[in-house]
Amino acid sequence: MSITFIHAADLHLDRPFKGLSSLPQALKARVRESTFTALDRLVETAREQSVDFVILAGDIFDEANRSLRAQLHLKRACQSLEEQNIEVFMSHGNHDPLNGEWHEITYGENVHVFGSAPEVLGFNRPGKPKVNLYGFSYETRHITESMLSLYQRKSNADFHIGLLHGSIKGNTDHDVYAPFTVQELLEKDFDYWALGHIHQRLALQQEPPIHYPGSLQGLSAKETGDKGFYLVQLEEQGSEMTFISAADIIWQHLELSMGEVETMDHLVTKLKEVKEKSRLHSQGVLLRLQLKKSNHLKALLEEEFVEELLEVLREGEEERRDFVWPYTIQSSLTQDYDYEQLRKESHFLGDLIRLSENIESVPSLDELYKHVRARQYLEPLRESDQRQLIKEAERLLIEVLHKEITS
Amino acid sequence: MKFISVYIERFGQFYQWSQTFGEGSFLVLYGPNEAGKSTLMAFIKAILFGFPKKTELRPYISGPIEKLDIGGTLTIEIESIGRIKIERYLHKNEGQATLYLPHGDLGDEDDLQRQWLKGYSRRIYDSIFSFNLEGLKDLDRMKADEFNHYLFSTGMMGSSNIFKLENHLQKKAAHLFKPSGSVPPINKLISELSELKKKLTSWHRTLDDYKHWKQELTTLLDQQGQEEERLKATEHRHAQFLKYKACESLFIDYQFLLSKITEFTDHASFPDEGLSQYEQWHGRIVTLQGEAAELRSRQAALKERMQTITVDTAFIAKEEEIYSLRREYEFIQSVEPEFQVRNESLRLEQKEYALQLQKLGVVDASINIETLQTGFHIKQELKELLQRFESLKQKHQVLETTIDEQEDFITQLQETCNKGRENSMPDDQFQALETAIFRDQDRQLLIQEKQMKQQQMGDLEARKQTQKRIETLMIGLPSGFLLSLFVLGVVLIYFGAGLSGGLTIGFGLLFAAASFLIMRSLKGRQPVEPILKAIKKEMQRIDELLNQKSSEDQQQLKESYQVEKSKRDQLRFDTQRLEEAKQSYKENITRFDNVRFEMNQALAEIKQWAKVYGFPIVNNAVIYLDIYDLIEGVKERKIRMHHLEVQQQEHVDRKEAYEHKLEMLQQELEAPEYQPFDFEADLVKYKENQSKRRQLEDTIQELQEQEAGLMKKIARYQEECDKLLTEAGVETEEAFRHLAKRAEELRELKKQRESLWLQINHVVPQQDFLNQAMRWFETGYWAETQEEELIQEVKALKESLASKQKRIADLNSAIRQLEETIPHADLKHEYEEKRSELNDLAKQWAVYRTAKELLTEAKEAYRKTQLPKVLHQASEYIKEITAGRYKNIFFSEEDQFILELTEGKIIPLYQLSRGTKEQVYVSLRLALAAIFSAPYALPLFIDDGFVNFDDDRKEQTINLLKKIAVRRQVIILTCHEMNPNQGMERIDLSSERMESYG
Repeated sequence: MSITFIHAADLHLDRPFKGLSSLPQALKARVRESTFTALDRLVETAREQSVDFVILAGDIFDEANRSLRAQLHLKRACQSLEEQNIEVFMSHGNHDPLNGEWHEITYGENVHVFGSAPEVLGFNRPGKPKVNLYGFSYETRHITESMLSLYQRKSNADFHIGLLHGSIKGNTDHDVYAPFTVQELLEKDFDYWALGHIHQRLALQQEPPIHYPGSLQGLSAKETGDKGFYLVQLEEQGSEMTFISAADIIWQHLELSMGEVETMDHLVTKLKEVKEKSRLHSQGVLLRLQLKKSNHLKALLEEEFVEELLEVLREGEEERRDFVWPYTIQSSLTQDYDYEQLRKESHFLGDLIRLSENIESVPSLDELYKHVRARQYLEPLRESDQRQLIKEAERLLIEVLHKEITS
Repeated sequence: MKFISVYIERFGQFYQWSQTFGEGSFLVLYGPNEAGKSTLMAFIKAILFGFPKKTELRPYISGPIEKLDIGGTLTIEIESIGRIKIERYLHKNEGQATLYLPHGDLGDEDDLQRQWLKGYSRRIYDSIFSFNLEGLKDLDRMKADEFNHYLFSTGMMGSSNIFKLENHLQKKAAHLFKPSGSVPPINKLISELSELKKKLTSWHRTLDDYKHWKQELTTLLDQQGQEEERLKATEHRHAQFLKYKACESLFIDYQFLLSKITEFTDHASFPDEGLSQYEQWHGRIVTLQGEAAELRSRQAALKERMQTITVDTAFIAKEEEIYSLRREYEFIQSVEPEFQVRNESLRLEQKEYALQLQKLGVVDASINIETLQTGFHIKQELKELLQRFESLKQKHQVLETTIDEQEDFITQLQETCNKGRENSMPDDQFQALETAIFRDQDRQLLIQEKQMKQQQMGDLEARKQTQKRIETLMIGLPSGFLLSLFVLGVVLIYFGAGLSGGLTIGFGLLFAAASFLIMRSLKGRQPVEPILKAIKKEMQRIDELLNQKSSEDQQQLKESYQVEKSKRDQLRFDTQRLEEAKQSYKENITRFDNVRFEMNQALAEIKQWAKVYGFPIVNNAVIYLDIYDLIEGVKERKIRMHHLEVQQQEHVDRKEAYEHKLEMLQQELEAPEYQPFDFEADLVKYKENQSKRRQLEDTIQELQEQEAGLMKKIARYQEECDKLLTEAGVETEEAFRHLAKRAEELRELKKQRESLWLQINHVVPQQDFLNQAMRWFETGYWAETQEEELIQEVKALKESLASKQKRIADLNSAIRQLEETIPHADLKHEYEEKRSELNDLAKQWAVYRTAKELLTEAKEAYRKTQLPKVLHQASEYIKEITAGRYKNIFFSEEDQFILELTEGKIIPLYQLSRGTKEQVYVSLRLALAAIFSAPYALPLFIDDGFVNFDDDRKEQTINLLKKIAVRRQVIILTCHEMNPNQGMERIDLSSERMESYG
């Protein structure tokens, strides 16, 4: 007696990708489609494997004001699953709460959406084990209280599965998202916990499984590596989980030691090799290259050289299905000064560091950030952003001035 | 701190080079270009602060003598502590310093950096304590602002141009964004975003429309559903109305009939169908009475007819006999021709029988034919006996012929043998000839025997030699044992070991006996000599035989022998054949006799057969079979004759019995002339009459029964009529008929009601609807309803639905069009991407702005805190250098360096001579070093500092440095000759060091 289902979360359908202004139109279009492509792959797997149902544990859409295209695409996906008699159990998360504005789309009779209060929905089909699915959808963007006390196990089923879009307590950044502890989940005595919200694939417990499948498609440069969903088979004796890749675009971040590289040619050859190694069978790769440890490279990595280098590396990629697109090259070249030492010195650079530490904001930035036209498009600078800006400015100054001193 | 001496193991062009800097603290290191001044400075810094990074170190590590380690030692002197030697090598101790302290103590890198250098770095040393005037070489080309900024930067941090950096940052930021610009990327992006936003807003409106369309569609679909329901209901109501209207008039008629029927309540007692029943019963009575009269008349007619039919019962009683006689007559008539034929056959048989008897009588007249036995097995027995006899007879003839042939053959062979004996030689002669032939063959055998004997003789000779040697040993060995052990025994006895000596002698005897016996057995018991003699004798005999001379005409003998031998072989063969022929002849004679005996025996058996079965006995056995066949034929004919006779007798008997029976019947029925067919004809006639009479009787009986039945029925029908009158409550038929008329009228009304009801049911076949319609009729449900109103209502609903469907189709089309195109999503992506790009660029801009801000702030802080101290110290120095001509250096609000002359006059520095500018620069650098809070006064390195100074200023500067040198060691590196001053030590560096290295 077993059931098979798919557990996915954080689809963020139609999410705009940022920081990819360099992408040519064809690749841009593919990247824009990638969240949908990933969903289509999920549906394809569900149909191939003839799963009993699909669980979507929150953040199906990217914003409260869901795009029409995203909703229509999901509708088509659900219809395709309905043709195979596959049911869908989904909840809305912090990115697509119920109070958002969206177009009235009905998804079909095979789709069951959890309401704002935890409830139990049943999977009840002749010849199949009876399954109780527990879950809720976010009413608003933030839920600061734990919702687990409202998950009441009903013993009229063979299997019990919990859906929860949230984060572990104590994770301060995320505490506003239905916080929970693993112990609390275990106490519910469920057979499986289908979590969502954390975009990284993560197992909190092996048996009973408590898993974050991660986002279905890497959504930003931070979400590196392969992304997808779990194909789960639940049996009385235990569970078997298989991760299945769904992402069409893979973000990669490579730190490369450039030890002996001295010339541009050498650098290009080396980076081309790296690029080819990064190429995947059918997925596109967005590559961030971070170059380390070479003083010779300093001169090579001036701004204009970097642009030139990117152009060379991007050559011919636009037409490829399995493209590898280096979207940025950064250098974290070894500093030839000791920051802590500098900070202590009574030299001007020491003064500069000490001064930067005491500055909290830079009023002159208002010229842009409070600009009447610009401000509506700019994200306001938070304290942490300002701190980072000051740090970067300080680094820039030290690098230039230090070079002058020692040259 | 003071540098005392250096030892360079290897560094740049220095190899195992040492130099003492002397006791003074004001030092001029003189050397031409490439003499190694900078290398020496780099060495000292490397020893103090550690080796720089490989790239910086590279110029100093290549060279021909690479086996030497890079590095060396630097000896410094610190007041209050003493001299410390710092040793540092690139490989040794992995580049870490080792300190040799004044009292023999050792220190390490950590001590050096923390305790002695107090955290001073190469950078600080480079920027503060060592400087050159390289930057001043473009002094003439500098504008006022640039010069002031340059000096300010120098005063701030030694060498860099902060103002340049500030400008650079400003430019970078402006390149990205200008508050009122349109070209910089950020401004461009803002414009693009603005455009995109407009489009998006427009799309939002469209999407709002979409939302409204969706809502309207939902509402319309709801309304459509409701209206469809209403239309359906109204159409249904209309249909019901029409159906009701179709039967309403019928309902009215029906209602009228029902009211009329209720008026006939007083005639309820008249029986249903009373009149018709009465009429029916009455009618039947009349009919039945007519039928009864008819029956009676028919009976009378039948009785009359019966009287005319006669019947003789005597004939009928004899029916069986009459028919039997008639059948017997027919049979006798039918077999009469057959009787005549049989008579003729019998006569012919008797004639033939007589003939055959006559034929047999020739053989033996005494035979009684009827007693003879015949049969298949008897005949078979005879055939077998005759067959055997015939076979023996044939064999007898064959043997007779064979014996005659054999007699002739024996005679011929006898003659041949006699001739053969005559031609061959006598036996003794032939034997002699044979002996002579065989002797030659024995000769070969004799040679082989002789060779064998010779070999036997050789073996025997060898055996004879061995026996001789054993005989010798047989005597020697026991004697030796006996003698030696005897001597040993005697010696032992002599020395007092009596027992041992005795035993030894005993052993000696024992060994001697044993060895003798062993030898004898080895020698063998049989003597060889007599055998040898016998063999020799045999050999002599063989030699004699071999020496006999062979026959001279051996060949001839062989030929004669072969001829004679073949003759003798032929004779032996013929003789053998003769004997065999004689033997065969004898055997055939015996066989012939046996066959003849068997033949006689077989004939006797045949005769015995004849005797047993009564056949005549004849000598010729062959005719027995014919006799048998004749007798068998006679016997058969006799049987046939008897059979015919029996049949003729039976026929005669039957004929007589018939005639007797006929006579009897004629008498009984008194018809003497009647033949069987006459009797039969009468019988048939009487039987027919009898049958007719019976039929008539039955008919009369039947008619009587019918008449009785009719009378019964008439009585019962009359009862029924009376009963109807009673039921109707009347006594007379007339009263009954009146009542019947009224009842008929009521029945007619009911019939009409039924018909009407059927009509209603035909119009409204559904029972439910009929019931409903009846209720509607009763309650007047449709009384107020007009058909036109219903039609109008349906029409209105249909129109409304059509308009809604059109609107729904339009909305669906619009929604679908929007859903299928969706350019909005792409627009949004583009908008978000641009926004992201804008934010990235803004952050880049913010970094430049922040950096500039930081720099400005640091500069301001410096201007407020550090600069006054530096200027104050620099003023002291410039006064010293210019011998009091200038007394103060200021930095104005307009970012200008200003010099104050002793007399109080103020002149912007930029307007003064190059030399003065250089002096101010030197003063600022010295001041910076002076106010720097170093733990120990670090030595000051000045690289070619005073090239452009005039002699006076140079001297005054030297004097100033001399004063400074009191507090800290000053080392000037120069390639220009300088006048030796008091207190200044000079060290020359040679550029030919490489050649001098041995």
